[in-house]
Amino acid sequence: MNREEVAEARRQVRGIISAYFNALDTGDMRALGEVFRYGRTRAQSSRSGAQVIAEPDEPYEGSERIIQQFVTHNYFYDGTPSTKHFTTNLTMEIHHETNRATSRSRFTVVQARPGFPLQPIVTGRYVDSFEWRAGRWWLVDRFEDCFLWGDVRHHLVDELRRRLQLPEFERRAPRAEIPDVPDHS
Amino acid sequence: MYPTTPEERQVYEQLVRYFRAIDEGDFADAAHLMARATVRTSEGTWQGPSGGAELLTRLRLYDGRPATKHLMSTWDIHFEAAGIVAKSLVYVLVLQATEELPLSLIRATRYADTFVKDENTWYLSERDTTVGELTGDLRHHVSPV
Repeated sequence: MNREEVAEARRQVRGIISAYFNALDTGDMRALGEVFRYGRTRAQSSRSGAQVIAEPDEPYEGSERIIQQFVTHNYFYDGTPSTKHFTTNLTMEIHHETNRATSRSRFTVVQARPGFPLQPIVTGRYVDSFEWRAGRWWLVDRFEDCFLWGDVRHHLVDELRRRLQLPEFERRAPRAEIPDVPDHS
Repeated sequence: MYPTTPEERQVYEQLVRYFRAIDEGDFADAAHLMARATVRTSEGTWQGPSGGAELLTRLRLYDGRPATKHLMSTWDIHFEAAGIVAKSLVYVLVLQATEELPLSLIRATRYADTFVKDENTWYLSERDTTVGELTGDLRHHVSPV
């Protein structure tokens, strides 16, 4: 890989990370599926980033499965989760020899709903792996470690909050409209 | 974050400069950066130097500054039209503290910007902040229309 190819790798990795949070926050499931065409996700929940409180899920693989995961786990309001995933502190390593790349970043999700003022609801870190395939870079693995939890009642469904052993809350978020899952056949 | 070329860096620095100007209350510089732009916000559309200035006069000031900090997320940019048009995308989280408002998140905004290259400099041509904006308590930041 020459200098320009490394720069191009950095641009594409940056673009994929940006495409992910834009797709998710705008509820664009088709674009989200495209990000994960060759990808899988694994998530775990920990306390202060140290003590693991819920082991990584079985990985979710491929567009359709991953879209289904988001649609099942998250609340949507008029087609969006009403969030912004602020991704910061991005670093990348491009591995010349193997045509692979790794990036690490932090995320802070903020949300606002009627009666729920704009606030951070969860922060954590991503460790992402990328591969060069068929003429471009693709996300192949995303590991997500969620720690420093806020009030996710309006973002994650009850069943998932229980599985992650998050505190029970008295008030339940309303189950709201879910965007259509695009047909990838 | 991650400007990989001098061209990217020039656009990135315009963004940084704009948010610095707002936070510092340097509205002459902020208006200068918007002088050739059409800016669409959830409250309306502003155009050119007078539009930019009007947008800024609506901000409430405390000792000459809005008492805000604009934090930028991971930034993305790509070039079109043989490299003379740049599409930039960034999230901005606005924090504010005043005597009446404890340090709070007051806005989370997606800035979709188009910059155009003119000779050797880049200028802001279009800005759209209307998609999915989340707002908190803006009473101490923006005067009502």
